[in-house]
Amino acid sequence: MLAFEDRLLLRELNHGSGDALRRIYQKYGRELFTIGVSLVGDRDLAEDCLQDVFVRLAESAGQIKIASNLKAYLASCMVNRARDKVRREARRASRVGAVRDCAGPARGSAVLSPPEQLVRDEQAAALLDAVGQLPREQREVFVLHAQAGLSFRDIAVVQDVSLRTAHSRYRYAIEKLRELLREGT
Amino acid sequence: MKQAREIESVARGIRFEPDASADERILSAAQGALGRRAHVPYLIQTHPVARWIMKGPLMRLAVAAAVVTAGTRIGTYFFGGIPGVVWAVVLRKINGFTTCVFRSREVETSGPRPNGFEFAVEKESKNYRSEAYGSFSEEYENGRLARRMYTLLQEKQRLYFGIGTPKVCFRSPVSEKDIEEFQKCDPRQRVARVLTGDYVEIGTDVIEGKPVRGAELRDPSVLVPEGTEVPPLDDFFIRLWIDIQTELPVWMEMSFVMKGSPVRRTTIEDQFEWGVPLEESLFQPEIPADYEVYDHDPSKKPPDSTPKTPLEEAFARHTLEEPYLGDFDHLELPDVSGLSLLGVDSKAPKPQVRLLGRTGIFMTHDACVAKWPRYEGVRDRLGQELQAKLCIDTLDVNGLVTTGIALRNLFWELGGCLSDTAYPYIYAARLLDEIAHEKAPDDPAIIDQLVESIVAYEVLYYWSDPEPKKPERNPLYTALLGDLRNEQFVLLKAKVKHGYMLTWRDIVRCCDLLMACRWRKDNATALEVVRLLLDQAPRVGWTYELDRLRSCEQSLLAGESCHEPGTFMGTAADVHLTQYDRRPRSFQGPREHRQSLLPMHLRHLKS
Repeated sequence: MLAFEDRLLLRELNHGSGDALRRIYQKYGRELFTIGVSLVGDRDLAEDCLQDVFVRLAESAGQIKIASNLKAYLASCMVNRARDKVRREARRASRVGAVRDCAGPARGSAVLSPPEQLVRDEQAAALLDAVGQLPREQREVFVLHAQAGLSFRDIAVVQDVSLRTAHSRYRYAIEKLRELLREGT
Repeated sequence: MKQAREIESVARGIRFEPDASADERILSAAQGALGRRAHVPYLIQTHPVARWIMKGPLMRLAVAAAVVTAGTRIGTYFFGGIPGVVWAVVLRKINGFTTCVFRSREVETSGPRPNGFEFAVEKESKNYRSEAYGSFSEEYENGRLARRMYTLLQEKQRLYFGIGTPKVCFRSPVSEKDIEEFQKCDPRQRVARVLTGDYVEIGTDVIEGKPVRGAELRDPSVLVPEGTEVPPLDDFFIRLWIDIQTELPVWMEMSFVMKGSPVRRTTIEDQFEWGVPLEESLFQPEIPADYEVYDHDPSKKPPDSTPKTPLEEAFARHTLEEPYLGDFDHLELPDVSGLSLLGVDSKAPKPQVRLLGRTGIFMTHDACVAKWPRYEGVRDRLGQELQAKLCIDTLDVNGLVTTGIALRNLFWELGGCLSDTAYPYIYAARLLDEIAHEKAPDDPAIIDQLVESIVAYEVLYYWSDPEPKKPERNPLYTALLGDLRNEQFVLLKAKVKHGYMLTWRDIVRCCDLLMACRWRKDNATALEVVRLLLDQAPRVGWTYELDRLRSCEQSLLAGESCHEPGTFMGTAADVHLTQYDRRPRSFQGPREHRQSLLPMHLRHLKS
């Protein structure tokens, strides 16, 4: 069931409250941004995704109907935006002849700046690098579950797969990450 | 990182934050989209003719009466032919019922705060009201029945008792004025206030599968009787939703932010059942046999604190001019913002944490402090680091204390006792105050600073396991803090012998000592303190608690314990201030808490 406070916020938003929109942003904006950066590997692109998510949320005010979980709903929007962005970036890169790994987003300290504030230790940087090398589906499951704390049930809805598939993808993601991180050391 | 658990742990710690400018840009774009969308006519506007007619309150009542008389068809005409609700009919219908059952939910939330915490309280109750018998409510916390409350009109009594410990029931008489107040809290009265106010229609919606139509009022004066001052509220609204088919209220919500407070309060009443039969037995309370009943007379108000003599006036003025713990306020504080201690990274990004309810805040607080290393274990290392980084051996007493205050402020800024990384700063403040106390042992103002640094993180009792065990008292209060306050009392006695006149600061110290004596069961010292206060307080104009001091003296002479006079009272009860509870009355804490305190003898200044 939708959390009581989220239910109030949505009701307010559905009645056009700018305050409710701001409070939803304050409550979930940072977590969504973390999901975005982890998925697209670029702060600017993640900010664009976040903006798209909130602009669309505002545009839908009056018709939003969420029965289960506002955070999962917003995370699902963020994942969709991230997929679009990565796809578009890949097309743009191929048009200008840039060499870029389309299997996953670009990674590196220059992209994840400013490092002194964001990626404080080497382990986190190494993990982010490894996450970038996962296939998209596994990367999404890992980011949504391990970083954003979404349940597999919610993730299954986001990815439109069975609960079992969401579990398997996560298990494969963890195995692959262990392998990549072992290689890295 | 070889194990899945390690990988997950590192992943959980990764946090990215958009720049402040990005926050603004994103929100501005979203608000823009919302504004554009607002032009879509999802709100059904009141017909202009009806709006014009409904301007004045007298006209509004007249129209309402006319609508009642003429029935729904004429009402439909006034509201531009919109089928459905005629508000005056709603009023007439609910006034025809003598009983009502509804659910009430209250949410207070501070919203996410800069230190990463959001504080919230959620309460739910089921309420039964009858014109003949009164009201009965059951209040729930986290889904469990927490207390029962009765207002019994025939017995003219109020009863209130919690479920579980402590097994006590409070009983108080109900006056005619109380009955008037009780009637004003009737949901029917609130509906009437909305519908006779300057409301706007807010369109249609669906609640619990039923089509509803709403009205909204943004004028907070509906909360108070005519001629009374309107409370300072921001963003106030009451919304009323009516079932289109039954023309009865199904949802009423009120929300506001008190001016100057970060806390939004929202109350929702729903699941209404109008006119259901309510048996008399429902209003016959069953107090469990093992409960103690306390009679309480709410008409007994605290004595008026307004100064009546020039002496009392002078004391009140001095209290404000020379506040407790304000001895070093005139000195500049050093900048300690870049100081790193004990190898702790205090600037590490903090995840947003939502703390629900008083007990939730206490338990999180205690669990966090329990993870810190003990002060005694890091004191020596901290001393060496402070020497290397701040050359503390070159600081005089004022330098030590002001550095301590700056470090204590930093501790609070970083999240205080709810932070894993702020503790080196409060430990450093305590250490510097200890050194200052060693250098100037006869200065009571330095002992105040030391006490403040200790009670900043040492609470009166721990709440590690709220049920079924009772909270555990902190032994530090009978030992170290009692000793420090006793040192001050010894100094005070010597000064009084030489004609010294007590100040508010001395009284605060004495009251803390009385609390420590109560815990120590040291009636001899307590009696000495009470007698000194009884002798000296009238001479300086602190007369507010004399009666209590006299009764305290009698209790102590009879070998019983006594509760010390109050020193400070809170003027606000915002949920985020709960983190500073469980301290002695003298505790000042960060600025936001200090500002919420008022000396008891100045309670007439409470806004």
